[in-house]
Amino acid sequence: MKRSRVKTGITLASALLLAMSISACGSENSADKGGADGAAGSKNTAPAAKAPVKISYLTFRVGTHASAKMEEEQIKQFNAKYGNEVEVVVEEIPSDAAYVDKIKILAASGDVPDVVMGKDGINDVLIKGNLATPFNEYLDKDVEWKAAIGEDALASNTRDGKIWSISDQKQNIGYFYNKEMFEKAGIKPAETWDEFMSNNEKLKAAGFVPLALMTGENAWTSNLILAAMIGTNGENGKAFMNTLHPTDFNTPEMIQALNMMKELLEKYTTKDALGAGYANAANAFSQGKAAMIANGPWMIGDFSDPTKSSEGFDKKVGVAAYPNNSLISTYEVGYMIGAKTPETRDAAEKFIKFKTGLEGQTIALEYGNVMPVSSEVQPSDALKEKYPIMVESITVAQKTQLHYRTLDSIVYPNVTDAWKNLYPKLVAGKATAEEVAKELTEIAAKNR
Amino acid sequence: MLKKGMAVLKYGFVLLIVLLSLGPFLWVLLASFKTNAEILTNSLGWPSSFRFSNYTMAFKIAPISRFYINSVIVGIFGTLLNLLLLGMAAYVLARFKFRGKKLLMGAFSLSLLIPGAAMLQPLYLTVNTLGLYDKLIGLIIVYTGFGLPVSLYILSSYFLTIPKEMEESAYLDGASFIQTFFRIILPISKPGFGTAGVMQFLLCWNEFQFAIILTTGNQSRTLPLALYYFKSQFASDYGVMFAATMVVIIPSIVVYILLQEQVVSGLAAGAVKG
Amino acid sequence: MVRKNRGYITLFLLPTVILFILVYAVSLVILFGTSFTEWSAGRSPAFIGLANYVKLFTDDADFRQSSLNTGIWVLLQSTIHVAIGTLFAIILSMKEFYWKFARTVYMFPNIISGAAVGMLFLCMLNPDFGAVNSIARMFGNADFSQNWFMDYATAFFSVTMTWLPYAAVVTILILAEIAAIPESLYESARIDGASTFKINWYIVIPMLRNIIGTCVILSGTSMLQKMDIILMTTGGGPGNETMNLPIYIYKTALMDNNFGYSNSVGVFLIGFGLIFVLLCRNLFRIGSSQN
Repeated sequence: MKRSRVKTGITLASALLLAMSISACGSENSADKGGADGAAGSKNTAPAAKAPVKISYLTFRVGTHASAKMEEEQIKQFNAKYGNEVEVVVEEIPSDAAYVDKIKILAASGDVPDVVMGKDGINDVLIKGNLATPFNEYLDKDVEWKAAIGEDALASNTRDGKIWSISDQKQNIGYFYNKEMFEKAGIKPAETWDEFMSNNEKLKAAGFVPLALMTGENAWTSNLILAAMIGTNGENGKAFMNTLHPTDFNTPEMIQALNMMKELLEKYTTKDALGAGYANAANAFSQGKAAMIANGPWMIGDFSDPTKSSEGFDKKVGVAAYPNNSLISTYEVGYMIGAKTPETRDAAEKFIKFKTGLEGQTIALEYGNVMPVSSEVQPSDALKEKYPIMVESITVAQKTQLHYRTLDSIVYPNVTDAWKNLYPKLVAGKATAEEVAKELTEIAAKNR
Repeated sequence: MLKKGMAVLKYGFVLLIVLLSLGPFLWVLLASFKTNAEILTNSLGWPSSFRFSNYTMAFKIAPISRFYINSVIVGIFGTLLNLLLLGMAAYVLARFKFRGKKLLMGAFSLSLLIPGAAMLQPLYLTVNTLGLYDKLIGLIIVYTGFGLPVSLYILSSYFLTIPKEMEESAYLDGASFIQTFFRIILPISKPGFGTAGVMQFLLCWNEFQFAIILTTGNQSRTLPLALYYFKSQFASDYGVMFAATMVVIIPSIVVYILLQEQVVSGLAAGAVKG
Repeated sequence: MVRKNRGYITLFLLPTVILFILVYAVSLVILFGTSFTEWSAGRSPAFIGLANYVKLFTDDADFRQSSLNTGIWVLLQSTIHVAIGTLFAIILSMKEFYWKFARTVYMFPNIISGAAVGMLFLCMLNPDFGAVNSIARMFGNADFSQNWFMDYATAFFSVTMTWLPYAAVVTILILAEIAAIPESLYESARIDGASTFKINWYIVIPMLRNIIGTCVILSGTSMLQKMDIILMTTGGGPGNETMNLPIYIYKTALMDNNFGYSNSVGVFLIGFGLIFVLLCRNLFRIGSSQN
């Protein structure tokens, strides 16, 4: 009895396996590389009923990602409009880190998707590996699109005259603050760094935690402030924060900023800031534990989201620029063409044009609170009413005079990865700011 | 006196182990019913009410049900295939002397040592070349391979405890090699297979890195990927994240409890061989 | 018997050999071959001889720290971890009232994926709202806010505690083996008046030589793959306090984009592991039948 059961079990299992492998091979997979498909398709089918060109696209904007809604809407509207010409095969990659890893593995195998988001150094890998197609010709053919992106955004993604990616958003980043706490401490957003420091002291005296900082992951909320400290520190600092791929971090501006950040981490932040992830910092601010958080407008939606903030919290939030009337202003790397055949390249261009054109920018603004690159795209009245802070942040941004980029957008990806180990080292006194700066320089030199 | 001291030590040890194992699990279970604010302010306390909104939210955000089905398929077939192949190999390696055995054992031991990060790119190439990219069968084969060293070690060390007389008497009765393996060896090795099976199933159920590299579409993705839908950059909802964690964990616990009973019932069979 | 069975032996081994070639051999060849090259994503490898290895052994502090940590963890895991699991298995094998419950519960942390365990401990040990500090605050010190994972004094210890006590796999492996010990052996020992402790020490444990050796190898080598929990909790920090070789391999490949160098670390890791496995195999005379 028992023996026969084992035997039948095994027979059954192998039969099922066989059946599965056959059916798996039989069903043509939708995610096949668009390249081969497109080429074969155009040869065989009559021009009247041309099958849509398949292009592959990987996105990390899924799940709880702040831009998940906007991504979904952009793809939906693209399909409605161009679905019969281009079929976008979307691969969802939950978590940004997994996305970067996967693209790098694909690039190492020479197999990149047709449309690629070039963030976190992916653009460098693709450019160096000759795996991307520049946009110059496409843009020259379409003046309207070129205008919708604007000179500045295009320039930020140009290397040696070639435009490698099209930016889909401008990141204008200041910081949010809790008006109630500011009032109780008797302060207003600081105009100088001295005032910023004395504000912290006053907030602390009033019983509040001044800043929601974090050093885990990519140290995002801390590094925005670090960037502001460097960027506002004279001409050299400004130049540093506007240079792509700095290789020398051993500068007086960096060291000074690191020392200030050390003080902030020691005295003016939550107990868990060292090692904390974005979630910890965001919650510290949204749950009314900390008075300030540096972050961009995509966070605005969270303030009126009952799962993330308490009722009426959005009324308490103000937005401010950094001291010296300055602001972080970065163009995202945006989208690149990784497609290999002319058909898929054209299709990829069409998709990217939709995402980055006026329509795409409008969707991004309305669904993701993402700042458009074009000044033609303005928030709708409904949006303005829903998110007054959005309007406030646009006004604040317009008033600022000094601009610099985020650290993540200028440094090599291995430097971005290093902060989470270096900040605790700095705060524990195991390394001085000078030593950390030296180490950053060494890490940047390791990048290939 | 000494005996009493030993007993106190023993129960203390057991209690500590149980607390260390159960504590984190219960903490997450409680947290999965809490709101974000409750988790942050009242981390040890009871949730204000047992709301299932975190769970419904979790199912809404990630394609959990689809991933579930895939994980079950990959888990079951990855385990069966692994046990069948490795059972055969381990039996031969544990029982017979032949040329190249040492070399083979050495090579198989290597598979325990190759760092996963170094295998990402080569395996992607292999799987893609074989046309198994983005197919469940591809994941099944890869996981069957990942379980190679552990199953081999567990099974061959179990086979070594079986007295040789068992097979010799079978051969005397005129049983063939294959019959002996399937009818005599397999049934009395149930505890060994049970343990190896549990390990292999957990590997299939929990693996993340290769699952994301070797698949592209939701039709061939597994459950661990669902967890990552809740920890994107700029995501901050702990409650939903814990609910999703529970959704992923609970089936494996159930499977373990069920399989474990199989192992236990096999223990009686094991006693026969003395 | 041997001659007659040669065909069957081949038949039984062949599928596993094919599997090994598919999953591991290709990776091994690429790994070994490219460790002598300068290779990064998107470009083809260029032969540079031993340069990667020279740099590795002469001029790489992170590598040294990672190797040291990996070594310590392998040592801890193959001794303390296995000892905890074995001891627990022997206690459970007495089948007192709680044994089934305790055995099941002990497995829980091992059932959960590494990333989830990491996330769980990260929250449990959060300095602000984590359960551990909250308990500490209940018992007196109201300001207690130890940053377990980021304080130099506790980081290594905290990370180690996320896996060292959880030896359920060792326990179930050994339990299965204890079940195979004939009851008659116990009975005759009891008739001779031996205490439980003596029976376990002189009869049971020696009979477990093979499986304990297996556990030592499996537990020890699992530390050569440990990555997700560390990445989730400390990320190798503070500084490089909790960096190990797998993380270092991952970082040099995917962050520094230096696949060639990363693979030379991989080759070192494999060599290190081989020595460990061979040592254990000889120490425990694994593979020889015990009766």
